[in-house]
Amino acid sequence: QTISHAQTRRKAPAPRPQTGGVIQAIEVSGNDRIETSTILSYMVVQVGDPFNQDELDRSLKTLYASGLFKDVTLHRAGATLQVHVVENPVVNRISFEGNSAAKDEDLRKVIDLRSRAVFSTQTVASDRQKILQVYAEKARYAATVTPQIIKLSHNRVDVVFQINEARQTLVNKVSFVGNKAFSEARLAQVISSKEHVWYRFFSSSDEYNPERLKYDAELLRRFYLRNGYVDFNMIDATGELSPDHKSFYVTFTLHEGERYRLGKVEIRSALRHVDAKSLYKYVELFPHQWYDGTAIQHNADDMQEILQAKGNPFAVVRPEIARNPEKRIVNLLFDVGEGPRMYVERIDINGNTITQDKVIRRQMPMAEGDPYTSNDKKYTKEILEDMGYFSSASVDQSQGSAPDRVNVAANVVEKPTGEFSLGGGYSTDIGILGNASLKQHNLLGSGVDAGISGTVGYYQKQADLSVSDPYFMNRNLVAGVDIYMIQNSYQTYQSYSEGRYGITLRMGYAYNRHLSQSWNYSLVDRHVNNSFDLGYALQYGYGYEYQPSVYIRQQTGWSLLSQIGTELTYDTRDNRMRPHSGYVLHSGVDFAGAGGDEKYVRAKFDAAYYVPLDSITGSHDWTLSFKAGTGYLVDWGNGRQDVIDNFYLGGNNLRGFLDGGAGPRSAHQMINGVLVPAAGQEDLIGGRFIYTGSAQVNFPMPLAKDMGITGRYFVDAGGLAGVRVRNRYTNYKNDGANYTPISGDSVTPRVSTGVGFSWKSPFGLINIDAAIPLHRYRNDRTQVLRFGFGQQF
Amino acid sequence: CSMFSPIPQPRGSLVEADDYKTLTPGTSNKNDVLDAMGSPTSHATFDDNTWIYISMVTTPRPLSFPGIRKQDVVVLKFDQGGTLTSLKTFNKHDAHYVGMEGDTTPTPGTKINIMQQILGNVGRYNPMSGMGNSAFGGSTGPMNANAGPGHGGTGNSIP
Amino acid sequence: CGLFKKGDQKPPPLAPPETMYNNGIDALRTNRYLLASAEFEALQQNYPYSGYVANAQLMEGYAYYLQDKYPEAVQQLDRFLLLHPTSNDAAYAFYLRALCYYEQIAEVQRDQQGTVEALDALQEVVSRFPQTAYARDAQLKIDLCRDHLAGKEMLVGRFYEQQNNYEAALNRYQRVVQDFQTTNHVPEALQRLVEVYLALGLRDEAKRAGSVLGYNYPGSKWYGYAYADLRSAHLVDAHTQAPTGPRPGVVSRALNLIF
Repeated sequence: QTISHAQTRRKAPAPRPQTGGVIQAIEVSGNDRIETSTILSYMVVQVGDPFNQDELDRSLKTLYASGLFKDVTLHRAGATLQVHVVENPVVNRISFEGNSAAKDEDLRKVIDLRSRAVFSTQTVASDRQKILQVYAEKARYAATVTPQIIKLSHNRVDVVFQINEARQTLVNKVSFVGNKAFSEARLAQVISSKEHVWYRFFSSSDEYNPERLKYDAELLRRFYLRNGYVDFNMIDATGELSPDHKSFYVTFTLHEGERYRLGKVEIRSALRHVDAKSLYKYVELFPHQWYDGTAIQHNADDMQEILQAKGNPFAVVRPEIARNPEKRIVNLLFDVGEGPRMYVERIDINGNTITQDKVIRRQMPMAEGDPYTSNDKKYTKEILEDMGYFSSASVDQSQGSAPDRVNVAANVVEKPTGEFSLGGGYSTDIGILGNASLKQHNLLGSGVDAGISGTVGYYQKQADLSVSDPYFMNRNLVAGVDIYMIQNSYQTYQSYSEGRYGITLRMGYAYNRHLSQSWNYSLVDRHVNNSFDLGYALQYGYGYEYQPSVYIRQQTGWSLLSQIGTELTYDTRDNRMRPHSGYVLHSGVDFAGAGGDEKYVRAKFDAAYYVPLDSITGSHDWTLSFKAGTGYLVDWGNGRQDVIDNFYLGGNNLRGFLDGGAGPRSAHQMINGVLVPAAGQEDLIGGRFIYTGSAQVNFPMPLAKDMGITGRYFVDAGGLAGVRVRNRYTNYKNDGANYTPISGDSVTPRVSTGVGFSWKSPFGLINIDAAIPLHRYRNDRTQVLRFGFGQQF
Repeated sequence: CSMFSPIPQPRGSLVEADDYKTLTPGTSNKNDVLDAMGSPTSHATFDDNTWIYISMVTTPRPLSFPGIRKQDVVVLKFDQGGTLTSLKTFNKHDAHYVGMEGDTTPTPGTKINIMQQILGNVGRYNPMSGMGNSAFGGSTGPMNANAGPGHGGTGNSIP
Repeated sequence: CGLFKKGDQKPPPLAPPETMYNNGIDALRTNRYLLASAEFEALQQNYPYSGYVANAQLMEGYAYYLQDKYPEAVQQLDRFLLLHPTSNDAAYAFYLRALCYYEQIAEVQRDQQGTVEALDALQEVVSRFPQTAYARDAQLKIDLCRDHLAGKEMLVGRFYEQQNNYEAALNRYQRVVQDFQTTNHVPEALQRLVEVYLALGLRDEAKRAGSVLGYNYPGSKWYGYAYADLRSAHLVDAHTQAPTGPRPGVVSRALNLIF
């Protein structure tokens, strides 16, 4: 009798053979590729064991479980056990036909079958399901997949998946039942799935997708809660498939209930050392406003964050509402209590193949053994991403050795932190300018930021080396040094060439999570020459008029600057690289005169405020940012008062204008028919007082969401005034030949507006800004287009 | 003003005097302690029946390591049966700082050579993904740092 | 050259499996590993039933190992072990697989995932083939892996102690003393425990850690440091074990007090 184990169902075993006797020999037949010894090693039964029904069954199962065989039969002939196997073929090639929405590589990644692996019908069946799942995610519910098996010689097979993708099942109609307070059109704007219309061929929001349906139901609930409908509940949200499988009808049935106003607001505190009265100043809501669910939740979260920052790590604030249907008012109670006390037992950092362990561990807000709240988990993830060393970072927790102990694991995936960037700029005056820089933000994984950059421009040669360690000697101390050499000779818009050779030492420390202070000392030797060579000019028929103005000629030669500066920074932004909310304030003072030829004190202040537009636009990518800055420079003693230390307006702080292209400049004047001064160009001499302002909206590009293109629209404004030159020759009567009037010295703001794009292209980040000046002084210099291009390795 | 004051960071178990004043040696047992104070920060090195609760508050200090503002240590000893035999508390005044020994025990292990790290591609450890993404922050690209007159590290530019 | 010739030229006739196998072995000897792995690959592709397939799979794994392509080597060796678990080269295959993980152990500062995998693979070699030469070498490497993991614990402990997080440092040092008793980091761990206990004001714990260190490692420099610490806390009396190791220089002790 034979006991055969068919593929799917087991036949009832034959009447039990007489079980006496011992297996003298085992014959294996039917195997070509797999050696007999391998089969014997998988079998539980060995020569010399008695014929035992269970042992035979188990060896049958183990042989089958190895996945190497299509069918296995054990047959007893006298004292020998005959094992007949039919080997599973080997997969030679796998190919897909008829797939266009999903590419071959994506499908190959999803399925388990590999070429040269063992073939089995179960894996093909499970792969078929997986491919269908991929198409379900692309909203092609009508897709069909039929695997074809082609037999080859030597027991090998080719597997071909024939795919019929069918059309996408689109949402044809979205309808609402039970909406009295808001119109169907208004509710349609709230939810994310849209009815299929011809111009929506690119976006995926009209494809039917069950998860999006749940998300829409949540959006509607939040919308109603935000507008005071406390009793709102979503009765049903369904999508019916049309008989021809081509489209979906989505209906939301909802019950609105009454609209409520906010009544009394009280606070109850069960926290030690915290009494309720002290928390009233954190209530941002006022009685009699329409009830707004999200605002209450925000208020509770802010209050919780403040308490947790003030030494109560386990503080929890829960808003409780008491409805009063007759008067349609809601009384609000903030219940301040303590959540479960959890402590971190162990922090493991995984995936750091380059960055050293301490570079990550020192950023963690908590050490092992410290209190641990869900806030810390979110905050740690933000910090890891903010470091900029990792392409992805995740924090997960697992149960520790005691019920209130938690093990935290920070998993990171490193990304190249080296940066090789090529910059370019086109301006109306200097033409093409380029620079190259090689930076490594995580040198040897030690967290040290080091960079060597050089500019090879037609008018500028510049090289600087900068190294800075954010945790010098593991202390709360940032230390850095920059050594730089700059030579620029912008002949067209600035008639002098300038050289700068210097070193800056930097040191800084943090008072707390937001406030930090930095000190720097710079020793810079500067050289200015008017580089106007009369002989050379005369050759080409130019005369004196091309030499620089008197204000530049008076400051040629070398000057040494020795300057100590400090800067206080208060930074509450959520993310340093791409800020979305929060603000940052810098205020700094530079004192020049500890030795060197320059003697001045310069004060600077600038601020940036970022407003997230999530509530209005419903997406996380919209950000509104306001920037403002001002600076003033006052001289003491009798320093050289060189023009190159003045503030300059234009370029980055005023897009649409050339670098330093706006502000006071030397000019000419027609006095009784004669151009005075006869010689000398118009030189931009900067100013003593500067103010700038900018409002900018960052928005995602609607069509190319996954191409990584973001756009921005900005309005810049700024003013530069207060002439600062060594001695002024603006009095026609007694300055004689040196008389040179100064124009453009006015506090009235220059304004410009424009758009910009940044594109994360496959070969690096490209930034393009195009801006046109709206209001400018008569002869300010403009620069319409600027672009930058960066490549990373 | 408060802007400058460093925010105190609670460290270790959050335990205060009135948490353990209900515990009396001889009568309370391990469960009473667990209810009152949570699980211990650590056990003694060679004796699991000695529980140590460390509760500290540290504040970041400029130019150096975080300063210790409060340090309370509670040591509870239990007998074999798990009943509390003694409860002792120590605070910052009992501390005796001896400074950290600079010496360390060497650990062998393949060093990643320097050139490999600078180029960012550590080869066999984690085959680097493509060269696409770039960590450029801000929107004005590389041209902003030090182009144009009057720039160059002496800080007379408003960003 | 041949590449662009259209014509109906048939692909070159396939060499018999023996020559393919020998070409592979020769390529390996003249360390042209890329050619070797290609030969073995071709052999398995075209002659899946020849007797050479088993050795070809093993040798291909070895070729990948020599090219430092450890993920591919491990994959190839796993495939060999799946098909030929009882071949007499299985011990060598397991050992080679363990070496692949062992080579990937990173420096102590970095992720120790490679060390943990190496430890498991080496443990498998020792448990499956206890009497072989591979097992003896694997045992040696196991101790080194454990020493590496202990080094990582100490590194993190020192970081926390320097940042005055005594609650974190204490647990890390205790883990080394309790879980890694056979490694050579234990003396330092005990000395650090003395430092941390003194900083926490737990004098009797510090004394007990010092006496354990003195009893087990009297000649170690770490006991010298610990003895000096205990003496500075007046916790040394007549019958405390005197250190027999090298006297720590006064300058180095003063230096590290400052930094």
